[in-house]
Amino acid sequence: MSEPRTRPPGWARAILEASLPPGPTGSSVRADLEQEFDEMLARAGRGAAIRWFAWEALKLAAHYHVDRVTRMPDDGMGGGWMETTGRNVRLALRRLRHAPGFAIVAILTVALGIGANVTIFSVVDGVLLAPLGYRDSDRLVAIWEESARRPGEKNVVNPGNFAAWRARAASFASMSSVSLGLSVTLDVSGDVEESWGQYAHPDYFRVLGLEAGVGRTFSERASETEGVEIVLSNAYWRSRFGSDPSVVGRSVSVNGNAAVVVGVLPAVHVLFGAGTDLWISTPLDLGDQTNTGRWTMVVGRLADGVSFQAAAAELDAVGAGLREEFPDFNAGWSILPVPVLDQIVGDVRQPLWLLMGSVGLLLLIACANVANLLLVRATERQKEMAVRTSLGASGRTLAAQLLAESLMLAVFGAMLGTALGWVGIRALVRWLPDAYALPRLEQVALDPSVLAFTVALTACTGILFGLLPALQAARSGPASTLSAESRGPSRRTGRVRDALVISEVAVSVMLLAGAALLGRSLQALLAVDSGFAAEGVLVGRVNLVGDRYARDEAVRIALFEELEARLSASPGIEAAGGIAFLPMDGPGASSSYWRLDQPKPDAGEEPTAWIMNVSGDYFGALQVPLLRGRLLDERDATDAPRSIVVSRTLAETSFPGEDALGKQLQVVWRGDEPWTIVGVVDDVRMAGLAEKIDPAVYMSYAQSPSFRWQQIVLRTQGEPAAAASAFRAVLRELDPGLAAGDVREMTSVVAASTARPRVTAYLMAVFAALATGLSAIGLYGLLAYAVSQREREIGVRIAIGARPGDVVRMVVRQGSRLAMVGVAVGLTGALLAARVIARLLYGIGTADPWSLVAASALLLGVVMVACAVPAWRAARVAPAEALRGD
Amino acid sequence: MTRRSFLGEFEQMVMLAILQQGDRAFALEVRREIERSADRSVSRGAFYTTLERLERKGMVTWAEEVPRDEARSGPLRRFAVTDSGRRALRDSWNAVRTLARGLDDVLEEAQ
Repeated sequence: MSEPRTRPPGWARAILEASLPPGPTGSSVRADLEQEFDEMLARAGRGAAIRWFAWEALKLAAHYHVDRVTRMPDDGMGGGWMETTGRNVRLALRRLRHAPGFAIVAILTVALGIGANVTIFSVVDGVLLAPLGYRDSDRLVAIWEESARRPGEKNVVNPGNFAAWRARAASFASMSSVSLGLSVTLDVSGDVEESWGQYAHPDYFRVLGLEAGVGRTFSERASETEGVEIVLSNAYWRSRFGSDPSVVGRSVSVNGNAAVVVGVLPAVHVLFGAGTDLWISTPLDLGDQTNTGRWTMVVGRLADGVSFQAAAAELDAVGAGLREEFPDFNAGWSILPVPVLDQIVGDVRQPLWLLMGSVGLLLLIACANVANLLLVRATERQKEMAVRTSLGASGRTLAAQLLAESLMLAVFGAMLGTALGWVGIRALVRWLPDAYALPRLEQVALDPSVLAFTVALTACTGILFGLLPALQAARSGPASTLSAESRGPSRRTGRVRDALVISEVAVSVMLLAGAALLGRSLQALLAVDSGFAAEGVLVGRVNLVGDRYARDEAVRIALFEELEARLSASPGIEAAGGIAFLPMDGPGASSSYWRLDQPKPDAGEEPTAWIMNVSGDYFGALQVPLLRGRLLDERDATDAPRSIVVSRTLAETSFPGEDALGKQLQVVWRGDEPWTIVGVVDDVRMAGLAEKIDPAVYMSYAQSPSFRWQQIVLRTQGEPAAAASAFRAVLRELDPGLAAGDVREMTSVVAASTARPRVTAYLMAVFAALATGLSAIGLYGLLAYAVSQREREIGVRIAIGARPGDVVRMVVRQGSRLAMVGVAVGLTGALLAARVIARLLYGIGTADPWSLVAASALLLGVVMVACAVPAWRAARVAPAEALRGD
Repeated sequence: MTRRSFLGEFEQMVMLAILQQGDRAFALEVRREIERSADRSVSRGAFYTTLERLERKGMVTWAEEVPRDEARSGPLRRFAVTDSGRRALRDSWNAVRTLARGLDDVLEEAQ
């Protein structure tokens, strides 16, 4: 009779099973142990055999586990990579914590490079590269007129010419037009507000290929059989109506006329519509070539298969035909088509690409810096690597750990950089709109592709420069590294580091030179005399709405006279006047004119002048100096002889060597009557500080009430903003149906006109400063490392009688030699690259010596500071200590 | 010149025991041979992991055999020393012999 066979305990077998290698190896080991168990059972009995098996199984299991763990990085077998990675990450974090200075500098460097790039590229992408939001926007063309006297300058279009283009140019499938922006008064159930509107033909949005976001755009017969329709801009819908969709369908009144809101546009940039609150449908009444001047803007959609060049050629021919048909009106005028993306972003493209290039260079510096830091660190750790190799760590183990460390730096740098980029974009979007007048800014958002690109670039830099030297050390074997340790860094990595620092310095000099050029140019621009005193002046637009103003010019004249009289009598207001278009505030009105005592010039040869309709004490309010004669006043009433004041430039160009006073001009703007010059005032920069000065003619509003609005100009005592409430109160007293729009200080008007060069220069200065800081860190790191490597040599020098001054000079010489080479390379680069910013400069040349000297001097100064600390440390090396270190 | 590593003492013992056992070089027998010849107990863990290390270095190989004993619960592995294993063993052995030349008396004294 045989007993049931005794088996080893199941739990011990299970533990053993889980620990043994798979396959026959493991099962044969287990079978060996079970065979011995059977022998033990026969020899020593059941209890002893079971105890023996449990103990041996546990020992064997433990042995296999330890064996696997100690071998893991080499074979990576058995699902261990996650543990390995986790351990490497923990090790990397611990090592970075032990070198906080290195870690912080490296992470900040990476973060700055990434943050600046993400910010600027996101702006570039949103403004220059993102789709416009119109259907087939690459088929759209903005079409302007161009005067032979101002080649390349886009001029608004005569409606009659537009009608002819539309009828004759077969290259275009469709063509529509929209007016310049005008002040309009919107009355929504008695709630009156001044807003900015454009009159658009019913098919305008269809030609643009822009659908409404809410509701619809104009019906085909809007303003003809359907009544006046209104489309709101997205921004105005949000600010005025709180994004209320029920506004669609509401009846409103625009400038006193009934209209219906039919839709809201999506939040995209609308061609010709920057700052426009609403579009008002206007009938397709196209006028003729003679009676209305030039005031509309035209967009055309190319017919299928027609190229822009072919369309431009056809327009050329159409323009030639119109010159022949209407020589009086069209002589000297041609047609200027512009692709619509150029139209929208043309002005900002150059400064944006300049900034993009700058941050790209900044990223290169950041990469060079990270490379330098990691090279230094890797060299420092050559000994550590050699020791670990000799203790049995494989190249793969070390590589995995160094990789983990580089990746940790990249990850933290990327996180911080993303945060910086996010903040940067917020700040720019908040700061730029008013100042920069950047189109499409509403579309700017953090760009994931550029984020990924910059992170990948810095990570690659980290891996390349962190890993290679360390691996080199690991490969070269312990003996050579351990013995070479005392000799310091290898000549080759030393040269690589020198080259990195030189290129950092060179690129910094280029950026500094660029910033200095833009700064000098800005300085020159701001030093330009505007011709008026903006400080202490409050301005605000008053638009006269309602039938009685529309019907009767005398009522308009009387209202402005009364308004200005009451305002100038108000406490805190020294002078009050009005003008239709403020200086430096966008478009103005202009007209051709000629001397009546000379034969009329040929058509197209007449000079043109700004036409200013001024009321009250405009000249006093802006302090425009009177040079000769008198200013316009109550003597120049509606029925009095026509009088004008002209600008100094008009007097000098049209009456060279003569006295302009008393002479007469024909001004096309205002009929056939002769206008007699009664005074000459100094020039005012109308178009902006950088623009050339054109002649100007001032008419009194009483004799030329061309527009139904005036910009009221108030010279105040004390804080200009304080006069705003008096302004509004007086206006309400006169007519409760009127509102003051765009009330602001004149200084902000001037500031906005110089915003682009100012912001470009500021941003460039910020980037140049960052670049300089990073190069200083790079140079500092290199010198500090060199000093620590040469400590013993320095100790010997001091021991044999070198003075601290000699040691300091030695270190500074090493740093400044690299810096000088970098500056020389950078200056050459700056001179070569300066053409890029030539068009952005005002009043200075691209080789402006002051800028180049300033950039070099600033950089060398920073370099000296970066040299100072290592030099000071070198001078304090105690010879005994340094020598004992061996 | 390829890098050669010296064999550890225990590795040499394992390979010599395999050679001694000839065609009976099953793991259990090999371990018992070492215990008998060296007069010491051998940890199973050290023994098996040494076998696997030698296998990775290409110095021993094994073939799987179906056991004749029906009570046995799993396969048997019969081990053999490869040519390169034999060479490594010979190099180590020569080195030891060279170093020990003329030291017989000295070594005997210890007894």
